[in-house]
Amino acid sequence: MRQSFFLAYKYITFHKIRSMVLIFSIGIIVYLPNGLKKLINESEAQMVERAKSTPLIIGAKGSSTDLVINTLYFQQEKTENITMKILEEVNASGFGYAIPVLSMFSARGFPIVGTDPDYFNFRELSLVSGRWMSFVGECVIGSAVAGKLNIGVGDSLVSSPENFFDLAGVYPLKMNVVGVLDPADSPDDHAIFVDIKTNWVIMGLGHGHEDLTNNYDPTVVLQRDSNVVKAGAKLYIYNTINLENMDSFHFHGDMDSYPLSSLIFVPKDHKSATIFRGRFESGEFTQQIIVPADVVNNLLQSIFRIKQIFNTVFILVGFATILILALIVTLSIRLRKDEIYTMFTIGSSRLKVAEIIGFELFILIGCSVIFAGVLYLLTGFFVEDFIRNFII
Amino acid sequence: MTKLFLILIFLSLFSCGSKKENTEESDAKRPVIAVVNYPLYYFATTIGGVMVMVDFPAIDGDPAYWKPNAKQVNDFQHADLILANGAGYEKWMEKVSLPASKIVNTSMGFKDQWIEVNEGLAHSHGAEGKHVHKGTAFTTWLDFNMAIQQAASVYKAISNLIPDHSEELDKNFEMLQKDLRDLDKKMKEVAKIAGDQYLIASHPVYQYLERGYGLKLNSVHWEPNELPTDDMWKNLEKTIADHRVGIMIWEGEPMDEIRTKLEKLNVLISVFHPCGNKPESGNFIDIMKANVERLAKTIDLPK
Repeated sequence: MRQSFFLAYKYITFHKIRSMVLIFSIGIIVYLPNGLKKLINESEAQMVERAKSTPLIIGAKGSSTDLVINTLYFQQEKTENITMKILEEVNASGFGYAIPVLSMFSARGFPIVGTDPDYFNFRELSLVSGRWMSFVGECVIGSAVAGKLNIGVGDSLVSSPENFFDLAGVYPLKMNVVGVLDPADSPDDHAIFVDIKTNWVIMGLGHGHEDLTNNYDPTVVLQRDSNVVKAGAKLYIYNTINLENMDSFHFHGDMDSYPLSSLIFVPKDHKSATIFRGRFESGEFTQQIIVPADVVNNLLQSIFRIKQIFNTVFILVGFATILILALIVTLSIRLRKDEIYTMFTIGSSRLKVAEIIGFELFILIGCSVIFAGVLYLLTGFFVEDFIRNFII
Repeated sequence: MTKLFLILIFLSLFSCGSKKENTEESDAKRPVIAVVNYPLYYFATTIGGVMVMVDFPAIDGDPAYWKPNAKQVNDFQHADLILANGAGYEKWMEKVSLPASKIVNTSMGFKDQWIEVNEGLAHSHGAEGKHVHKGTAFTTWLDFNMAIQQAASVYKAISNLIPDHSEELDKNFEMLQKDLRDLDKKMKEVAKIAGDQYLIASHPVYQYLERGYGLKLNSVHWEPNELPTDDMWKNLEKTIADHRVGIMIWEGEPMDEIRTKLEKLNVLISVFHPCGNKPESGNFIDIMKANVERLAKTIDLPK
């Protein structure tokens, strides 16, 4: 038996290229249905888990899918905003607490998410280095952001203008990185977290500039009398917030009217959630309240109808693989006709020949399965990207 | 005998140790309430008693102009409840990151009664057009009626935090309310005696006291420990002459030079401590009682 295995092994290593091609092709055929199945199942599980861990989402009326995708995955879909006043009203309701989310801007390709410290407690996020954001202008970055941009505590990130043809509209703000999050295997790894007020500064609702009352430069101050000081475009608006200029930062207008993308609402208990949802249905609140798990389930149902097609395809592919393998074996035996005849003439039995060919098949299939297993394990690392690129 | 003595010492030490552990444990269980000024600290400690831990940071100067560091912001972030005065008092909150769900604005209930003040000149820059940074007067608690509403807001917030102690909280709140009502009553009597006479306030912090009790106040911007300029004195003399003012209200005891000069102008001094920060001695009610009594005495004095 050992001799048969030795001969089979030698045959495979002698025909290196042919054996490699066979191992890779069989491996990929074995991997594809299983890998894709894993990808789909894990994506489904991850999406459902994130949705289930978010009890309720409040947002402006419109597409509930966009609202959920924006709130859970920070995909910055064009959803209508709600106002800060609703946050106060919802918190005052006594049914639970709300966490604000404002995701409209990005920096170097990663979404800037405006929120408050409740978000980190709610998602049970922890820091790998640095501290939580304390002041406006500071940010805490997800582990993927830190890894891909190769930045950490003490570095800075500049927000991208919303649109390059509207340079005067949204001021780029240089944000100081004060903390890096532990990997959470969630969209939080790919986000830049700032306080909601930092987002408002990026939007231009708040800003800091030099004190006009003490500036007598005629190119900066165009008009001055006892009631009014009028500044020109030369007035320097700070593009970073630090301890030196923080006092000059201020917000204009009524902060109650400031925008939020949505609210994550965490009810006290199931009863509070039911009563609170009823208030939206009765029209007491004009916004919509949604259960993210329901929306994600609906979304997955429509997306994963394709899963059924995949399953059928995989059965057919599997059947074809077995046929191809049988064909390869048959052709291989035919090709090795002379070689097998020589084996007979030197005294080898039919069983011995079958044993040698059997071992060859065993080694080839074994290596293919190992190769498929490695690919299968690697698939786990691409679930996040799969969700990001193919589902949402 | 010696053995018995040693056993007693051991037992007493053991009991001390466990008592300390118990205290630490109960401290860990007590909810932490962070407050932004002394009146709210007093309200929260009076209502919450030993059932809560009230954290009022040591602030040098007026807490309204406090600038916390990252560590202090972190302490506020981790509190179970954050009591804000509102009416634009804690401007620093606009620049820090705090959980909105934990902040209770104690003056929100009477937002429509906040007094608007202009903060500087109208100015314009960019496409925004002309605008004035408007603010609000924030020493709301000097109208004791408003202080009662703020205390009620504190009571409601603490009740939500520790609903199992409602009986004790009710009792504490009633006592506090009674003290504040007494102050309100006394202040109304003082205001009645003051009648139509004008008073000068050394600082623009008495807007709610003025409106709440119908006082006639003219505010200047003087500091008790800074000598006013000649122009400031001239303006004051004009106000005194125009309104026949005989009393000036101060946040703190003014310098001797100021006192002497005011006495020469026949102006009496009455210190009315706004008590935004922790007093060196006494508590909020003691300080306010003393304020009202001092004002009553000064008004009663012949001018």
